[in-house]
Formats: sequence, C-alpha cells, structure tokens
Amino acid sequence: MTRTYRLGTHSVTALDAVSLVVPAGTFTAVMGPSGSGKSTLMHCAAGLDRPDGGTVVLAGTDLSGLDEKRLTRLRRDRVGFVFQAFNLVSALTAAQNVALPLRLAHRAPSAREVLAALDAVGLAARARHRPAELSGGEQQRVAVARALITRPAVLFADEPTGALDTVSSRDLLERLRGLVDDHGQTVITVTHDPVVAAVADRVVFLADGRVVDTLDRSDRPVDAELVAARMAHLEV
Amino acid sequence: MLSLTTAAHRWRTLLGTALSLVLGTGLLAATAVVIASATAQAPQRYAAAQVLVSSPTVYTGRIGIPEHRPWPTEEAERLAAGLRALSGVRTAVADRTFPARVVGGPETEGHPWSSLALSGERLLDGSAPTGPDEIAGPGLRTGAVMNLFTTTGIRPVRVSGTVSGDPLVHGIYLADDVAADLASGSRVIGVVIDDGAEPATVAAAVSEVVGSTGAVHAGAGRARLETEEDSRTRWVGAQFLIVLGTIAGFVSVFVVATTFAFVVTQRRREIALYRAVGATPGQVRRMLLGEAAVVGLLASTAGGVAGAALAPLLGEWMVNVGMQPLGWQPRTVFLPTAAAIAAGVLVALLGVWSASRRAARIRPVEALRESSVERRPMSRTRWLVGVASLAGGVAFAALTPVAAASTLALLAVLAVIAFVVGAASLAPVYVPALVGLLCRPWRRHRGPTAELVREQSVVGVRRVASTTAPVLVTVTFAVLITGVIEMMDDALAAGDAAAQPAPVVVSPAQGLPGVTDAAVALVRDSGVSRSVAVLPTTVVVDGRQLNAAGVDDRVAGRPSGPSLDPPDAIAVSATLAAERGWRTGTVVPLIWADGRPGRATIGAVLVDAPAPVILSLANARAHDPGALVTAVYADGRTPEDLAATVADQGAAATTGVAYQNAEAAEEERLVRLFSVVMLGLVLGFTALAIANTLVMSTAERRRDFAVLRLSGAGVSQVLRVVAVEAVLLVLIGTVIGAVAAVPGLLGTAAGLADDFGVDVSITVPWRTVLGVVAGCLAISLVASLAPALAAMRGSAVDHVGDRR
Repeated sequence: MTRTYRLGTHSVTALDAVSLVVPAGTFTAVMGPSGSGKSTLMHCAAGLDRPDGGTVVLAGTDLSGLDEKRLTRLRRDRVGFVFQAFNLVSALTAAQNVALPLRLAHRAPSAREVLAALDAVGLAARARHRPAELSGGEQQRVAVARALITRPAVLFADEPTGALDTVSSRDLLERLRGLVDDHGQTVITVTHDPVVAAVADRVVFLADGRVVDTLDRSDRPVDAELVAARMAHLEV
Repeated sequence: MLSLTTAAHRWRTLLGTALSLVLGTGLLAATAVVIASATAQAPQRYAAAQVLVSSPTVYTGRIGIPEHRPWPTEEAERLAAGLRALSGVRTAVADRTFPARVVGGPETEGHPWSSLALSGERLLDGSAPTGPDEIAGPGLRTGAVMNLFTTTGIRPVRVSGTVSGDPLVHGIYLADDVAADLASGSRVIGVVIDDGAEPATVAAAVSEVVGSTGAVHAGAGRARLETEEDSRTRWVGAQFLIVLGTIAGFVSVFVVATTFAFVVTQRRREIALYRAVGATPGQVRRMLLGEAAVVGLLASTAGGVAGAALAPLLGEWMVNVGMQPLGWQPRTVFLPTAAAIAAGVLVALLGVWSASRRAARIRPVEALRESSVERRPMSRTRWLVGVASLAGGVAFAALTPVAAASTLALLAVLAVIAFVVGAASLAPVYVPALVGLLCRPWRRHRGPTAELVREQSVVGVRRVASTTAPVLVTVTFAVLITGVIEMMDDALAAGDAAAQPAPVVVSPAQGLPGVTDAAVALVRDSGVSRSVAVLPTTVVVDGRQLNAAGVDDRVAGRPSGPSLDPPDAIAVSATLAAERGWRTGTVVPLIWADGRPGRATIGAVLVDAPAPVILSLANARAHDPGALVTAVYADGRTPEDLAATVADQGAAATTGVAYQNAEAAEEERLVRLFSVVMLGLVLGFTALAIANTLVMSTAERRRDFAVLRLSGAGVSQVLRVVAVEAVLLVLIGTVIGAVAAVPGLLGTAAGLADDFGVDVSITVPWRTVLGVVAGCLAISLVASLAPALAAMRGSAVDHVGDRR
C-alpha cells in the first residue's frame, strides 16, 4: 500500500508501495528511524487511517470497501490498541475503561468479564481506581486489558513501553509474549526499542516508506543486540 | 450512562455552562410566569356584577386596545332602567368614571354612589353622599372635611360615609347627579343578578334589550372591560419582558455554544481515544448531546424553579414602576415554568449542536499525536453561519429605518444579534491576524512578550476566539443600548426645542392629575399678557376617532388664535381637510366625547394645528367634562406671582424650560430603567462567559506555562504574557463589538428621524461604554491571571508531563 500526505504545497510519501503479510498468532515488530513510515503503516493496517493506494485485509475483511461507521465497528470488534501514553479516559475507573469498547458496542459488560480481564494483567485489585491513581505501567496494563476485552483478531501496540521504566517495560513485554504463546493472539507493535523488538517473532525494518530488512526468529535467534545493530545500520 | 460519568467528572468545565443556563432559564421562567399571569382582568370594581354591558366600540388601535364611544347620560340611564325591569336582574347601574381626588390623598378616580352596588362593597358607617359637597369612599373618615379635586376646581367637601374596599380600586363616590355632570358619558352598565338566577340566561335577556347599542359580557368575558390604561400598561410590560427574554435566551445559547466549542477543542485527544477504541462518529455526537442534556436538565430545572419563585418579585417590581397594572399576581405558574425549563434544555442542545458535529469529525489517529495545534479552526458550518448571519444583519438593519417605532427596538436588537453571531463565528479568521498586527510595533523589542502573545494566538485560535466573543457581545449591546437611548433623548429634545417654550407654565401639583378649570380662569384673569390652555379631547367622525383640542388662547385678555365663529364652530388641520375634502363653512356631522351626536361648522383650516380638530375650550369642556387640562402656558407675569395665584387650586408655576425638562425626565424614566436592566443583564452574562472561558483555558495551559518557566521565564514574565494577551483580546472585542453595533444605530437614527421629523445623528455615551469596557478588562485580567498564578504554584517540572 501507499500513503501520501499533503503538507501545504509539497507532499510527503509516508508509505511507498509496502507489502506485508502478518500470519495469525505471531508477534511482529515494526522498526525504523523517525519518519520511516512505521506509524503510518500501523495506522493503515489498523484501520485508523486509509492508504491512498493498495488494500488492507484484516482477519479476512477488506478494509478499503468500508465506510467510517463499518470501519469503526470493525476496529471495535476485531482490533485492540495500546498506545504509548494517554491510553485511558481520565474520567473513568480502570474497570470502566476496560468495559468501554463493549459499552460502545451496546453490549452489557458483565462485572466478572471485566474483572477477569483486569485479573489477567494482575490488576483486579485496582478496578475502582482512576488513571490518575495508577502508575504508568499499571495504566499500560489496563490498556492491554481493554484492548483484549473484545477478543480482537489483532492487537496493535504503538511504542507500548515508550513511557515506562525498565521493570514495568519488561513486565509488559512478558505479558504480550505470553498472549501470543498461550492464547495464539496476533500482536503487531511499532517501536524504537530493540528490547521490544527482540521479543518478537519477526522484526520488519522500514526506511523512507519501504521495507528494507526483516529478521525472523525461525531463521536465526534474535536478540536486542542484533536488532540494535541492524537499526544502527539503517540510521547511517 | 457514559455521558453522566463524563459530565460528572468534567463538572468544572461545565460549571460556566450550567451557571449561565441557571441564569438564563431563571430569567425566562420569571418573565414567562409574569407574562402568563398578566392576563386581562375584569375590573375589581365590578366584582358583584355578573353581567357587564359596554358601550359600542368605534375603533381598535394598533396594539389591539379598543376605543369605546360612551353612551350619553340619558341614553345610559334609559338602558339601565330597561335592564332593571328584566326578570332575574336585581339592579343595573350605569357607571361613570371621572377625575376626583382628595388633595394629598391616593391616586383615585370618582364614581357615582349607585355604582357601589356593582362592587360588592358596603357602607361601613355614615350615609350616602348627597349634593355637591359630600363624598364617601374607602379609607375616609366619616365627618372629616377635605379638599376635593375635580375638573371644575378644588373645593372643601364633607365625608358623609365610609365604605369598605381599597381607595386605589374603588375610588371616591359622589352623588349620582353630581357624578353625571363631572363625567363624559357612561361606558359601562353593570348588572347584578338575583341569587339563583343563571348568569347566561340573564346575559341573553340583557343582549336582547341592548341590541346593537352595546356589547354584553358575562363570565370570563368580563375581562374585556379592563381599563384602557391597564391594557396599555400590560402592553408596555409585555414589550419589556419579550426583549428581556430574547436577550436572555440569546446570550445563554451564545455562552453554551462557545463553552462547548471550547470543551471539544480541549477534549480532542480524549474524543480521539473514544474513536480509536470503537466509538462511531454518531456515538461521539450523542455523548456530547447527552452531556449537554444532563447539564441542561439539571441547570434548567434549578433555574426554572428559582425563576418561578422570584416571579412575584419581578411582577411586584413591574407594578411599582408602572409596567404591570395594579392587582397583578402570579396566576399561571406551572406551564410557563415547564416551558422555560424545556427551553433551557433546548438551548443547551442548540449550543452543543455544532460542537458535537465537529467532535464527531475528530479522527482516531489524533489520539496518538502529541501536538495540540488545531488544524482547521474554521469549519464549513462556521463559515456558513458567519456569512449568513452577517447577511441577515444587513437585512434587519436595512429594514430598521422603515419600521414603526414599536418594532424599531426589536429590529435593532435582531440586527445586532445577527452581526454579533457573524462576527463571533468568523473570529478565528481575523483575531490572530489582528493580534499579529497589534504586536507589530513591538517586533523589534528585545523582550519575548509580543512574540509569545502573537504565536500563542495563532496556535490557540479557538481559545482566542472564545475569549474575544463575550467581550464583543457585551460591548455591542452596551454601545447599542446606551446609544439608542441617547439618540431617543436627542430626538425628544430636538422635538421639544422646535416648539419655543412658553415663559411660564402652570401645571398640576401635589400629585393631582390636571389643572382645574378654576385655575385656568385664575391664570387668564391674572393680568398676564398671554395665556394658552389646551384641553385634549376626542371626536368621532365617520366611525373614526380623531384627537381634538379645546384651546383657549388669549392675548391681553382677548381671544386669539383661530377664529371660531359661531362659538361652537371647529377648526381643522389642513391635512385632515385635504383628506376629507372639507373647506371653511363645511358642516360636519360628528359624535362628541360624551357620546352625543352633533354637527359643527368648520370655521377655519389651519396649516399648523396642534391637533387634527380644534375647538374652543368652553365648547370642549361642555362635551367632555371628564377631560383634563395638563398645563396652561402664560407670559407677562413671573412664575412666583402666578404660583401664588393658583396655589389654592392645587397648581404650580415654573418657567417653560424647567417644565419641559421635568416632562422629558418623566418620559425618559421608563426608557432608562429599561436600559439599565438590559445592560445589567448582558453584562452579568458576559462576565460569566469571559470568566468561564479564561478559567477553562488558562488552567489548560498549565503545561505551556511550565515549559516557559523551565526555559527561563520568571513567574512575573509569564503573567505579563497572560495579561498582555487578555488586554489585546478585550481591545479587539471592543473594536469589533463597536463596529457590529453601528448598523443597529444607523437604523435607529433613520427610524427616529422619520418619527420625530428631526435630524438625528449617531451619538454614543462613550463614558458609559468605556466603563463597560473597563469592566470587561477587569473581569478578563482577574479571570486569566488568577488561574495562571494557581497553575504555576509548585515546581514547573511536575507540570510538564501533566496532560490533564
């Protein structure tokens, strides 16, 4: 797919004919320097943005044919999101935040269902707290619980550890890895952080809107140093 | 309910909206209750008369108040006698009303003694008045001797009896034959029916007797007979309340709309997050509408209940200032209050409508962006509303010069409202540019203030627009209201100045309604070089009521002015003569003010006549015993001299200039009151709006302030930036607001010039307007500096990461 932005008089090609297949039940990390198009790739793949050319097929549905309302419904039912920050609605408690996608879908969330989702990220005890009363790591875990409440086909994470300390970071990554290994969840993350990428099954490197490299765990063991080395190679 | 939760959490940002809704709905409810309760009431004097007969209508005025031609005394007596003979009728009395007042007593009117039977009141002690020197009535002490004012003169009378009731309602009773001589015919015959008789049956029988010589009213229809004065008073009151309600409604919508437009801007990321996790645009829109509905319902209910509770106070105040008839009381409360509450909710929904549409267009990706730069502050709706409003304003302003005086005020207000909406909608287009322009002189200045103010206005276009808008509204209304009043004063003064004031004017004193005939004679015979007395009366010609004036104009004791020969001849204005094809010598059939038909010869046609029909004072008095001379103009003696001459007749003498000023002051009293209330109202609302927007936005800018401080700015430097911005925005709002008022002022000037036939130039009392601007400035500074100071409490570092 291709995505071009118009900025005043000149236009910027954020994605230049990128083609990518992500198998279900895998953990994919998209890496690249700033401006490489990795965020645009994720936005388009998740149905937050539309490519100018090409198509996105998400869990068997072609997104290009959908109007805004259908696209929203698809996002609500088939896609989960975790952002770098500002993930939660400050007016709502942790439990209310987790239940939000179900309520937007006009489904009455059962208390047990919500509590189970929070329990899965180890936060059942903090269900009644508001975001301001939670640490950054706890907020991200609530975001994960919310993203998973609809049992989405794909979980998208945009720099999920960007605002976290090392300990919280490692904890979050382990939980994401666990989702893939234990529940067959498909996870796609965009990141700067080689440590995050090292947890993935496959790392896709982007530069100037093109896929320039991939690392696959099935080919060779992937660790943070290797990822960092590849990144460094890209940035020169 | 998601809306409930978010509304509860966001109560601080919604507080301004809620407050203005409480105020707006409160005012609406109070005005609605007063209007709904201000229905025509049957005069209390006829409480015991179940059936009333009114004399025939000759003319219905522009504001729907009918004029009646009275029955002459004999005809009224004959009719009453015929009705008394009907079965089921206990008594029927021809009532009369005429000026009669105890000197120094309450503002009463006089009635014949027999009409006591219609009121249901009774004689408490003493006896009925007989002869010209006795009176009876409520609040009087039997046996006391008092000075009684009637049109003929002031003379001592004895109180023959005391009656139950209220002097202001039931007045003073005189013997029937005395009353008949003092009144100009009779306008009402009251019928008291026997116990057990059916009012409808009696009314039908009465109708048969009356035929086409009058109209019969029974039951609720008796309210048709409310006095002309009460109808006028109610009409004036309704005008006041309608303008009050219109402004209250508009300003509430305005405040709610600007607040919510701003709320949406502030919650951009939150709304984008909702969209990202699966809220459809429709859900986002409904969420905001829901919040507005929750806030609207709570605030409107509170305001509506408070308004209904305060309505009796508003009503009483209006009675006191003469904008509601005596005896007003809250009659209908529930429906108007419910309607006001519904209107409040509607206002909240209207206010949020466009903001919710804008919110629905927020794209989910924006949740992931850091930048808070608004991408497109001018939506298509905003352009559309802005341009359409400006066009509407031009249309209203164009209509103003040709409008009648009564609709002029409303049209001017509508024109200005349209311009204000237009100017406020388009604010994001011109405000940043104006800020840049104003900062230009300091471009080379080394300090960062000018640059920061300029750039922040470019980045926070919506915030800047929302802050300017309430200032704009306030200044516009201040300029318009004070300007219109100043221009009306000028027009009145110019009209007065056109008529050369008489050297001395004899006018009523001690709260009396007119100058007695005795006083007129005293002035005439006091050796003055000239005296002019005018008695306003009416005649009916071809079914049309015409204003007439009985004039006694004497130079050196000899009659002057138009030649009226024979003495019962009339003079007519050239306009009327041309319209009717009359000439000197034409004999005109007419009906006099007392209801008697007659014929009059036209003795003169006058180019410059004070009224369409002129007759001699004696002739006018003979046909209209109840009319009042309002003033006598004299020359040749000092005011002090004349005052001594007429003091016993309850009159006073002053110079003509002093008299004109006192008259003008009385005319201006209501208008000034009107303007003070309107101005206070608009200022109160806009103060709320300014404070609301600034408190909301300054708290929001906590992070910007923290960054500034971390970059090396001292607290005082940050405050300076905030203060300069506040001053600039007030300045811009003032200029645009003043410009927006100009078309309304132009239209008013043209309309007034038309009505008064004098040149009216646009004048604005700048001192008052500057006071209003200073008020806006003070509110702005306090409302921006106080929260900025609070936002900078503590360490700057803590706030940098703070996104809430």
